[in-house]
Amino acid sequence: MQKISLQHRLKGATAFGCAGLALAAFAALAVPAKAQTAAPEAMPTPPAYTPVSQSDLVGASSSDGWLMFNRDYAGRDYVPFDQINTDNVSTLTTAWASGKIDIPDGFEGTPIVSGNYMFVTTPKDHVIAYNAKTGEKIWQYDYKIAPAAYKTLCCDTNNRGVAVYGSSVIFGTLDNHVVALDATTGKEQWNVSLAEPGVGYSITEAPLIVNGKVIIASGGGEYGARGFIVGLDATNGQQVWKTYTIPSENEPGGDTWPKGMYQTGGGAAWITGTYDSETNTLFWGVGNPGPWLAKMRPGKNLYSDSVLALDPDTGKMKWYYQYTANDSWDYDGVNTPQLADITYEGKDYKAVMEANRNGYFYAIDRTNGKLIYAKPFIHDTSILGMDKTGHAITNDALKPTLTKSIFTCPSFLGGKNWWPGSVDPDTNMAYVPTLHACMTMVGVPVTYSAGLPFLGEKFEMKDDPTSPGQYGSLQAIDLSTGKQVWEQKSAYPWDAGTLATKGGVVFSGTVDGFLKAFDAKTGKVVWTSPQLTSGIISNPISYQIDGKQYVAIWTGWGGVWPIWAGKLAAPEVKIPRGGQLYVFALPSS
Amino acid sequence: MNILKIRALLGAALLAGSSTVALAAPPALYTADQAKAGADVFSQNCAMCHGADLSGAAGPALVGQAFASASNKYTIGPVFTEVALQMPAGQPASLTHEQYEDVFAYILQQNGYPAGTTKFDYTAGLSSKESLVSQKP
Ligand code: HEC
Repeated sequence: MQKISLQHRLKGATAFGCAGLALAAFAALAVPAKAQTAAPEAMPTPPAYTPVSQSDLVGASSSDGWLMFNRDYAGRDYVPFDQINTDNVSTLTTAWASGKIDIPDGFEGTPIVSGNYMFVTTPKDHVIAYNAKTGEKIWQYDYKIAPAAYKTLCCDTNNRGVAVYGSSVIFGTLDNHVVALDATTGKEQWNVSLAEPGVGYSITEAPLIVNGKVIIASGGGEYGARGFIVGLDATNGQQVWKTYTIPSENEPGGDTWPKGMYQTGGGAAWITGTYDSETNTLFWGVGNPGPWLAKMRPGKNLYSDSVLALDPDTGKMKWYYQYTANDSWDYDGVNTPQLADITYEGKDYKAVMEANRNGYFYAIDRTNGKLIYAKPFIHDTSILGMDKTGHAITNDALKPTLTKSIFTCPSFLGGKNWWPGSVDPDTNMAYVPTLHACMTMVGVPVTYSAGLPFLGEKFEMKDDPTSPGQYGSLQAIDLSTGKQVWEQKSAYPWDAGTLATKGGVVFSGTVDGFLKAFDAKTGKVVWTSPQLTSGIISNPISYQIDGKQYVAIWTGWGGVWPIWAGKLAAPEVKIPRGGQLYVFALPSS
Repeated sequence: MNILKIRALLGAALLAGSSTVALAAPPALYTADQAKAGADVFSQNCAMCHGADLSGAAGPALVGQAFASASNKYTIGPVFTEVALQMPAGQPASLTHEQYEDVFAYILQQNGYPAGTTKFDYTAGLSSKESLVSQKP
């Protein structure tokens, strides 16, 4: 009955069979002979694998691998490696690359490296294990997505990566399963379902493992799906706790919604959170409320557009901080809450930093959820500043109604979207992939219908009048002041994450397919890769094996921008589709 | 699960599908001319995201049970509203009312709805309570 669409959806998977051919075509680039001749059938004996423990995860910031989505629990996307540095980065060359993977959707995965294994995900929930040193494919697992899941994907068929724990590789799927595979064989260990596909929910984020629990949440804020975060037992997938991000009527915060609307209130927690092992506190961002049109839901609409501090063992809330109350602009609060110890106006704080979609760069006291500071990092007309209680003053004149069309900045994709930036302890700076665009928006009638978008707004992206034609920048922000230190502007949106390194180099990718290295202090471009096979919308990582430092990144244009940026995305139509994983290192002497 | 068993299951599913068709023949909601014009509107404005054969790409499938099954309980109103006010994604409401009527006629045709003598109408479509269940697998 669903045969036809199933076949269509598996086209990408079939294409994997041709990976060998693609590799041959790719031989022009420097790929070691080993990777070229790797035949998928003749699997070499897999390298030994050392199981990952909770203390490995707590110590991930000093690991040679890349053990979780943002590398460490603090979510810093920073490595303490300096073999590659400002002096020699210009000599980087390709150490190995995967075959080109012929899925025409966005590759947003962050590779995870544990020992000699690299685990990656592709769009449509394929998982591949490579030998991180040689590029040999060790195994591949092709998840079969229930066709109904494709009904409720607003923004492409992404999978942002796996988590590792014990000898398991754990990931979520577009049809809301969470699956554990054996790290050395790719065989399924357990597979649980969190929600029906096709009614709104879909998982795209990488899980985070804390104290033996798999913490994961789903997307669905565009379909009125009521957001939740779960903790699953990492040994069998059984649910230990489930916390809804939108409270029901009788729970605290329930009175911030009109009666009954919590059921379709959105609040998807669709990007991996962070964790403070000192206080055993999880920090997880929550997305936009549903429907988008705020006039339909008077109230603050807790805990939409917020960051939640949770107990990872029970899911109980310790505190929350709402960035944008009664949001009408799709300013999700899901960008990575990065932990940093900062000094602000002479006082020391244990902070979480977040470059929010609403265009403000936040420092929040992570012990109590109180605002330390918030400063705009783009041209912002939606948020007028902070009030005395430390919360954003929203520009209510720029909220649309059924009869009033508005123009405001930033756009519904925000001043920064999901791609993780970095927090660099050496420079005391945050590196923020930034979007510069505005939008028109007007209310339109909508009734909830499970499986259909639940927006109630019509919206279109427009140029920012203060920087027309310039849709992106990478900027460095001083953690102690919240002020910009440097900025690299781009005509393209800045759609990729950053990697900061002890070598004083910050890496990030561009939409037109270049991996670039910037001087962390000045922003000067110190290296540009050859043009890669497609645009970059993923997060670069770095790891070390046998004393050699590698930098890895997926190419694979797609994701939210080409779907929703309308006319502004016209220049990107010509960008070739398909993914390829590139790994760079210094030439062997 | 062995191949034979899968075949049997698929066969059963297809039978179940066709019996639904026999039971509830859908009404004629558009004209053949509209659907014909709608095919062009679709290929120029929608196919890049929904696939030339409507089976889905960056946007969801617009044909078959993965689009509108009986269990979705869709009516025409909300689905046409989504098309007329939100699509093409990124450039909403950028086509004429006539183009939206035509492209919706095409979608209905592709989902097994018969053509008739009455045109599909933009304003009536926005609030239509007619149920929308694809007749295609
Ligand atoms: C740029 C990509 C893009 C284009 C072009 C586009 N769509 Fe869509 N469409 C989407 C996405 C993505 C969704 C999912 C809706 C959401 O999340 O808001 C969607 C949803 C829909 C839906 C709702 C389907 C469901 O099951 O929920 C319909 C119907 C639809 N589109 C029809 C059209 C028609 C007709 C056109 C051409 C006039 C069109 N679309 C053009 C991307 C696109």
